[in-house]
Amino acid sequence: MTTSVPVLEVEGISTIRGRVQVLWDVSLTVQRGETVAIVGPNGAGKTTLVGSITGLVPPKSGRIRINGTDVAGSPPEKLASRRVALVPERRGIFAPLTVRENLLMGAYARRAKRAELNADLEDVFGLFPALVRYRDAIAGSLSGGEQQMVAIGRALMAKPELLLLDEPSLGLAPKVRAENFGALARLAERGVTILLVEQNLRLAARICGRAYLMQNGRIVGTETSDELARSARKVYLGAHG
Amino acid sequence: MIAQLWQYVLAGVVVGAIYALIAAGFVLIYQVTGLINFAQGEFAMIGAMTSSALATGGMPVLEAAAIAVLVASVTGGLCYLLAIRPARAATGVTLIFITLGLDVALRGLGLFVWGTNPLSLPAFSGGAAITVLGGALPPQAMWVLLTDLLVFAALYLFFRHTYAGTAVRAAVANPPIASTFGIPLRTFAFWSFVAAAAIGGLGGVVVAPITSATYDMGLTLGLAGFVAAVLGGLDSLPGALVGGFVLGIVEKLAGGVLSTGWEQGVGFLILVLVLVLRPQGLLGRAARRA
Ligand SMILES: Nc1ncnc2c1ncn2[C@@H]1O[C@H](COP(=O)(O)OP(=O)(O)OP(=O)(O)O)[C@@H](O)[C@H]1O
Ligand SMILES: [Mg+2]
Repeated sequence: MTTSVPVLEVEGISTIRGRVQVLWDVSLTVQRGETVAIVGPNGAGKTTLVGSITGLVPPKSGRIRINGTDVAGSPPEKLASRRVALVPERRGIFAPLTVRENLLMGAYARRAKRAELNADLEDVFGLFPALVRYRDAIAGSLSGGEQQMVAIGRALMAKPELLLLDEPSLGLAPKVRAENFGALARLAERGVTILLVEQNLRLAARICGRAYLMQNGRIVGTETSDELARSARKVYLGAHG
Repeated sequence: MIAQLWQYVLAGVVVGAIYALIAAGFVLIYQVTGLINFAQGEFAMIGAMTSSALATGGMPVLEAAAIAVLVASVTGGLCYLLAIRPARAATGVTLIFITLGLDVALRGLGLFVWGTNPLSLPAFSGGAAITVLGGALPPQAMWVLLTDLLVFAALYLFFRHTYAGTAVRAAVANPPIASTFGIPLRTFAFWSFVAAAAIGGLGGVVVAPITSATYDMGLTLGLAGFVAAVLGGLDSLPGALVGGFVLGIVEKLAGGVLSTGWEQGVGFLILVLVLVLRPQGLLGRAARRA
């Protein structure tokens, strides 16, 4: 355990959507360079938690600190300027824009020079070579897996202090999923701090050091990567008799 | 007969060019804010009246034109800051009534400042009528068409080839996700009003030498611009351009061939037909995402 300030510190947040309280006293911590998973069934509140961190669904109470600064209730633009980048559920790419334009938009909050952005674009294309030939294609015309790469690449263009991914494996064929998680593993090795929402425990165990288990809007436990892999096997065996 | 029809078409091209500018304002604001700004025609009125009043007072025409466009832009920005932004929590219908209220208020302001007498603005350049395949156009028509060319080319370059323009398109495509990357939706909404007002004001300035300027000209221009925008698809700038010209030409043909009464009515006929037969307009997308 390090003593430095965590990149993300969520402390007792409660969040309401419509009239329903969805998050109840949720707390979690992500240290610099860590890769942490949030796992839990449908409707557990994982996306709402991510939304509370990015400012899309501000919490009703509690604290959210990014590098020690309280940001709970700040609008999404503020979080972007603190280098929190989101790979949203169902990708959320800018469908009418080209792949290149999508990626460039990820860097909006950085206000960087053109030359710097071009270098970063090449980095993303290096990580996802499959995207190179679609550089100037309309992003909405790409396959689901390619769109997911665009969504991840776009978030990377923000040079994130904290990379949030909401179910990046959703609806992808195993092969594409494995490719994308390979890329995430390389990012984790480079030291990018990652908070990953994932229902597929085996995938989560592959890249995450530890995991928070969520259920009915609460954190109900934590697991190490090994425990996660074991539960994954159990679930796997259970599902197949 | 053919020569006469051709003359109607040419006249339609000139008014159509103005409609296209007003329609572009509708589209800009609708795209960025999801709002139909029924005060759009009044920006043209402000452009026309301000430039005419200044020129009547002795100012050189181009100088008066520049100041008029500035006045219209500031008015557009103020409309957003004072009327739209404070009410952003309101529902769509309420916001539509707010823009209708703005329309009435701006027209009242025009009446208060300039009175009921029509003002005129000298043409930007003199000379004889221009002949096109036997039809005649006033010299000012060239300025009108040149304005359209410059405005739409500038809009195209901005949206396709600048970082800020791309960010606006991203914000239109997916507002919440755009905001998570720091794209400022409210700032863009403000600038969409400023730009729409500037373009509308410019339309008013260039048409003033042809039609003269009155405090209530914004009503017809606004409605025509709205019909042109709907005809073009409401979310498409090329659609606004095409819609403007189609409406202008159809109006003048209907007015010339049938009777002048039809010139006014045919726009509404088109509006109803489009909404029934092809709600997405000529060049619009089939459905708009929420
Ligand atoms: N706008 C809303 N109004 C009311 N309730 C909502 C709203 N959005 C989500 N909810 C509810 O909040 C709960 C948590 O939803 P959330 O999307 O955060 O879950 P999740 O863990 O991401 O689920 P999934 O795995 O299906 O993506 C659900 O019960 C959902 O029905
Ligand atoms: Mg979810």
